[in-house]
Amino acid sequence: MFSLPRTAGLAATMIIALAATVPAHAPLQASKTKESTGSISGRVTIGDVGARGVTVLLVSAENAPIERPVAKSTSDQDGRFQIKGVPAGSYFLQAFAPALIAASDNVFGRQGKTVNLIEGEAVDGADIALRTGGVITGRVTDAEGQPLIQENVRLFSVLEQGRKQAIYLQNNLPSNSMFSTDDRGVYRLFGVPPGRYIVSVGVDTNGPNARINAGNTYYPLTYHPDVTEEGKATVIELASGSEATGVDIVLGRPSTGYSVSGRIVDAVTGKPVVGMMYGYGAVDAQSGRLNTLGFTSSTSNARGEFRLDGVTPGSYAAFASPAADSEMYSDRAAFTVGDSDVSGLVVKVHVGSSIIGNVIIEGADGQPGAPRLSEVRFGVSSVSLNAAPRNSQVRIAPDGSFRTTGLPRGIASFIIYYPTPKGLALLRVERDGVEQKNGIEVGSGEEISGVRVVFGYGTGAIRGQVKVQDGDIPAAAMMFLNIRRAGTNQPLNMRTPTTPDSRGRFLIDGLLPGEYELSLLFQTRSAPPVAGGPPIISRDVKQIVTVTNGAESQVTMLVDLNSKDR
Amino acid sequence: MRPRNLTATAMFVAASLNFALMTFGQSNNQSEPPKSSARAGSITGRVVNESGKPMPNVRVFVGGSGRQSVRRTVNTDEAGRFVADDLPRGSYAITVQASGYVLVRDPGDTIHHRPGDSVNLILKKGAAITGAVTNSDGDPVVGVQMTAILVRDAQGRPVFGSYGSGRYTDDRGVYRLFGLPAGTYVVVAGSKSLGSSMLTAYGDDAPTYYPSSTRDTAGEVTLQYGGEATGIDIRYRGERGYAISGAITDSAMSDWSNVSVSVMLTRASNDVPEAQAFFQPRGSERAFGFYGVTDGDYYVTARRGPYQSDDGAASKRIPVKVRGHDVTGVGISLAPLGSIAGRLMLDLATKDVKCETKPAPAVEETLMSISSDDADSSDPSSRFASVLYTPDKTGDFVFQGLPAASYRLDSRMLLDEAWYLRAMTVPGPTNTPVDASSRGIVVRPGQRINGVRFVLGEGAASIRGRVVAGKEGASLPDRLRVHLVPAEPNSAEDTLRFIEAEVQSDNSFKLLNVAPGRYWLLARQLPEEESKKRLVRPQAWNAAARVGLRREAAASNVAIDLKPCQRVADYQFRYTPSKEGPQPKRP
Repeated sequence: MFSLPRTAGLAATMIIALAATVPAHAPLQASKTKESTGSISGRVTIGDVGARGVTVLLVSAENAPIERPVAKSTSDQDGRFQIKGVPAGSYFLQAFAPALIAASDNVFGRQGKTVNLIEGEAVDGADIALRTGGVITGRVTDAEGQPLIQENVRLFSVLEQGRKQAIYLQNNLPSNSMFSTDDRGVYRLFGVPPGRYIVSVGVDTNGPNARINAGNTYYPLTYHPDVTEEGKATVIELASGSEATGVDIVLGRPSTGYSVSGRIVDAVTGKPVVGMMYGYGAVDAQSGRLNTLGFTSSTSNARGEFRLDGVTPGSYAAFASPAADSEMYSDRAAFTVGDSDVSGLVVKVHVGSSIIGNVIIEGADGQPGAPRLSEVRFGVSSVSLNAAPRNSQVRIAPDGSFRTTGLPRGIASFIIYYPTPKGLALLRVERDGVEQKNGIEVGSGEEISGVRVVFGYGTGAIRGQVKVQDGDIPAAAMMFLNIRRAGTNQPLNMRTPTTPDSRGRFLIDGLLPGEYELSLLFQTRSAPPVAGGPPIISRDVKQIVTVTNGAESQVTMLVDLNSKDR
Repeated sequence: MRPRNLTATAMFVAASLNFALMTFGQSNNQSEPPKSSARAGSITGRVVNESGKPMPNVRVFVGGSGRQSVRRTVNTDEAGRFVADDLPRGSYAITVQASGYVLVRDPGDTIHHRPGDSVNLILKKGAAITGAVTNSDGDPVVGVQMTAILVRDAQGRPVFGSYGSGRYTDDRGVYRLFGLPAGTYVVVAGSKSLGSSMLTAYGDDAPTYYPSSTRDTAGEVTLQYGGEATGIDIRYRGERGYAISGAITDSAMSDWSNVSVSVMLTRASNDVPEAQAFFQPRGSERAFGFYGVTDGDYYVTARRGPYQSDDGAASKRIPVKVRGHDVTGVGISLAPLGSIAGRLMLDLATKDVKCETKPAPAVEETLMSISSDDADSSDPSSRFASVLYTPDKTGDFVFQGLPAASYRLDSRMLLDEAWYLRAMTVPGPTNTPVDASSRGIVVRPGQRINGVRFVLGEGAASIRGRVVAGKEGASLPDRLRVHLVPAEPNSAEDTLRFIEAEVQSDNSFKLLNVAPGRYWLLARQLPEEESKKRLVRPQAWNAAARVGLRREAAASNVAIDLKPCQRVADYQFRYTPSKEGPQPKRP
């Protein structure tokens, strides 16, 4: 056992033999009472030259990226920046430079780098290398030369063997601001990495696409300059930092979609259901699930009739959409649109089953900082391929009781909602005191009572270090950690980040006591990939860690880049 | 879509459909008349551009205003036509969405229609503003959110509208805002008025107004439909603004799951939104913060969802003064919302008065409105509460989700000119009806008021006309309002018979749904302190103002006797500034 040093120099104490479990626990620090002395500094470069006046943002990695930055700094004449007074924590460091391109160290492709800081630590060398982005700009017009306003442009990267990949530029701007045409039909994409691209507008009818309220007519997918065949699209060769102008798209005549109509009826009485909202979704050929759901803003009429317009060819299912607190759920009415309208669909709505129970949190008594019942957010859904998806969130009364309704027949599963309060995990679901490992079987029109949903509260943590056998972590390394309770398949619904920083450090806290399996994916590559770079080495390292409340379990994960096997 | 900038004036100026069609017919001769074969139960229409060319594939929203409202979204065909069919009886708001275009209505025209109506809608190409944003070094400022704030409409009246959601400067610092209604704007880089869900480098900065100013010294840009203002370049100041932060408490709320809270920062002087923040409370964290705020007087108001039901909650307006430093510890407490419910009835018993027009409207075709009468409360028309309502078939209505305040209800925005509001009562101490027209209805936190009665009677009169200057060649002052003041000796407190309407830019006015009787006509300028406000409340809501109106009207003594069902057209009202009223001023 050793206690965790408060200052830098942790790395030296972290050289621990690669053991299956490391029962080394350190007491957790009390909450910060004095001014933090941690700092992060580095240099911003554009093409290896120090870049002046670039805004660097430090954001908490524990919160969603929409949070305002924890700190902000601007690079000086040499490109140097420093952020002081940073408390211990997990952060994401990035340049706010939408026209430039930064590398990403994470599987999410988010530009920037992770910094896992301990209290009082001074991290230097948190460098940010930027590249000049390219520009693709042009104008979108119809057959009469009229501009198309607020039309979405799509950018595809042309890969080997003529495959294409949709490109979304992760530059901190809402995507519609750049990909949407203005009142002259003009668009301008900036911060585009060098490469080969094709640009298009219109609706891709190759895959089903639940368009809603978008009009009876639509423009089929059309590529620059004026072709609907992907193979005939003019490829734009964009050199680093260059500007491709005149990438115009001229559209032909719009196509007409088909109309789909039917009735919404009560499954038992057969009577029309009046004034109910409805929608449809594309059926995924493999899973049978609905994706790209579209909810209309219309309601069924006095005869229960509904109508969808402008539907493009494909396989879909229509459904009714009862209010969130309704006892009803809707069947899916499958239909396929080929080259004609579809009519006579019947969408049945049923009175669903209900589950009545209560919620408890184990291990929270007397713990300061433990979440209260009112902070727990969870949902119950019984997934059925015959029923339309519906909102599953459950409202918990102050005494912990809940009642959820409108459930179709099937297996009801319980899920904890993000953002999860720190330390909270769903432990088990009981019915009449018996644990229901595979969910609760729900029949038709049933009322199930005696259900107990047990959450647990934990204060354990895993502090870890990734090390590379006989060397350092390469600069372009990308790491991702998966954590699950040992012996289960379900990954934890993580609140804390799961990306070790460039020094290999990570901290996962708010864990319940028990055994966990850590799984590290390690790749020697950066995103976006550098063409012609060295071959990518990929390793998967696993380790079992025991966690106890109120302590940090130390762990080192050793990656051997030289071994032949993965 | 709910009309966000609906003023109380509009509520008082009802326009019958016939009149609306007549106006469109005159201004748009080359377009065909709409289909006359409209089935009962359908609202049909046509959407054209300003030269009468049909606009295909425009999205038209038809939305009922009642509790169990029916909504339809339809698209126009190649001829610009649309049909929303199978509509139950009721009143429906019609709005359209066409990128880059603006739906232009004649001032005072209603957006509400009944099944069987046929509607002609004119879209005009919106205006555009473009320029570049640079910093003090002359380098482009990239990725800053740009907003055009409408401060006055094309008639020069103060209004508020924020445009430019999702428009940011590009890699050259260039921006372009488009689809703007005609009017006068200020342009701002880094405004928080539209909110933003994106991580930004500019969140702590005070917004920079064109050309390189604060709000008070901002340059104005005036635009016509189809026009473009270029070179609206901004030198971005990048000065750190101040923060306003605090926490929200809600005694009535034990379950904070599945709720969202909205916090709004408005300028105290004109109630215009400066910033807004939406958040879902996380655990016990109910902190809020606004950043990049400049010196000034503000109000902070919070609301918790669900927004249009009694289950939500709202705060009072909390005044906040920012003077050169951050403001912390602002406490906002949320209180439960109340409701006002009752019944609207048509008095069909008075058979002696029958205007020979259409059959009597159904109660579910009438429209009611609600507005706050209370300077200290948050404005219910801002964002959440439904301000217009159609009763159900039995005439029952309920306005839900009301923050504690004094409210004014009205039903003069009728779709039928033959009817007028005859009585408005609340249950008194012994359940006897008590008149509620001369005062507002006070809703305490969480209070549910029932038993409000509205009685509509048939035989309403109307006056349409024009105001002309008293002296030859003189011009009329801005913000002139025409008042009808009851002239009978004991009618001083007969609040329902005080009718007023704003004079339009062509000097026309209309006073509709007027109870028959003897009136004085009076025109006077809106008091200066009122003219700055976004929402003009009728002068006659105030007892002292009623006395003033009566005195002034009696002195000028322009009397008119309105017989039941009388339609006065082309009335010429000669305006001479009152000696006691505010003196007209030209800017």
